[in-house]
Amino acid sequence: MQSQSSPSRPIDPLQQLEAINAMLISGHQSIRIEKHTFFYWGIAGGLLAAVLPFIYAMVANFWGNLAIFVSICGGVLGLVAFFDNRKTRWIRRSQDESVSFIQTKITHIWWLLIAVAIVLTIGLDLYGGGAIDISVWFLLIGLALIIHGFFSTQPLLRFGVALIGISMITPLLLPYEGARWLAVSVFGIGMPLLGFMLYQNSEFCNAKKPLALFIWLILATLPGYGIYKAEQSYQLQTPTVNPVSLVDYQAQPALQQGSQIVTLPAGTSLPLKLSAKGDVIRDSAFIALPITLKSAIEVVLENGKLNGLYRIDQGKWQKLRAWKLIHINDLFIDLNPQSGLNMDVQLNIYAGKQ
Amino acid sequence: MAKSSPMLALDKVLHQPIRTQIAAYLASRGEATFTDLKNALALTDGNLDAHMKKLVQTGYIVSRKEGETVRPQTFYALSSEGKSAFDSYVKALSSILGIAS
Repeated sequence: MQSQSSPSRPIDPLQQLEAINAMLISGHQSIRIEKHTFFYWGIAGGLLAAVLPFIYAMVANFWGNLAIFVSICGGVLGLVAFFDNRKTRWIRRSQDESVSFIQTKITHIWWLLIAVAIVLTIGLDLYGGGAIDISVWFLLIGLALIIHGFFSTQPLLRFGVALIGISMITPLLLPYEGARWLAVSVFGIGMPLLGFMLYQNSEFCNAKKPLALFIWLILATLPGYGIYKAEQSYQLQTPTVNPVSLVDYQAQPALQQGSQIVTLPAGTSLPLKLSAKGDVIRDSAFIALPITLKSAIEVVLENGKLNGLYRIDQGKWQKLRAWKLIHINDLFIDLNPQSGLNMDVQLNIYAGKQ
Repeated sequence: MAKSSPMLALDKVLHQPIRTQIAAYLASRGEATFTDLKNALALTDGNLDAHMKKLVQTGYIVSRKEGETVRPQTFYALSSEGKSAFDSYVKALSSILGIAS
């Protein structure tokens, strides 16, 4: 135990400064996770992981499963958060201890991470991983801003929440190309602008909170959205030749020189070649799945090869990029005496019809 | 004219190892209960109580009670006067040691 130092004994300034540093660190690190927290979250997580697949099997449809996930996961984890926090405070109170500021904030971050995990799961289920990667970046950067806001620069809380809002709205409103331009704008313009607003105009940021946030949102998102729209409306250079039908194209030898437009009318049957492989199945050869177009598609050939230009139903010409959305909507396995083992896989393919 | 030692100019209340540590702990943690402080500084009740009384009397520490009906808890925090006194004290110590704070 330390004792009161005698007033006559000189106090070493260096030791004083070292003691101050030690106590400052001790104050910052005054965090203690209680035993019950591990039990509450662990048991709830284990139970959810064990029970949810059985509940999914009872409903067996995509939207039903999604609703079950949101309500059960959100409900159970929300209750766990409530009771965990209550018990932690009760324990501290019974020992005449307090929950420090930093522990309160870390608890908030814990809740936020759980909410982010739920939102991510919904996004992955709805759109697939590749389609929401930009939204995931928005979400995580938003989270990072919120964490900063918790501890130091409070206005960052609002901007972090706004970024999380953008991450949730983006997949609903914009295709991947649009989301990419939005990322260019939000990160490339929005982040430097945020730094400028916080350091050069902090008084305005604090005095007119909603207005500052609104201005930031407009300036951070509109340029990206504008570029995306401009790109959409830009008329790509297309060859001035008369389109030929697929039948005519197939009937004559392919042009080795020059441009050609080939039309595939609605109702055209196409072979979609698929192959499958996995841990319990052998690699299969490609089989042709006959699919039928419900829209007319025109494609451009340059010197006998597709150059990536296409349009749907006489719409705008588009350039095919590496990424177009293919989403496995459903996978269903059934075994019955009549037809034996059946595996149904439903693919959703989006080519960018506008 | 005699030159006064910079050590003499240090805040008499804070220039005491335990009180300095109490102030430093509260400066970084914000609020703390008596037990929090006792555990962090490894002090006896009596020893801590004596120093807390001194800091409260000086106005460097303020207290508030929470939970009026069932077992009220007392939380201690640095007052604004205490914060600025602590800042000045750290600056003065740093300048004595020739460290830029």
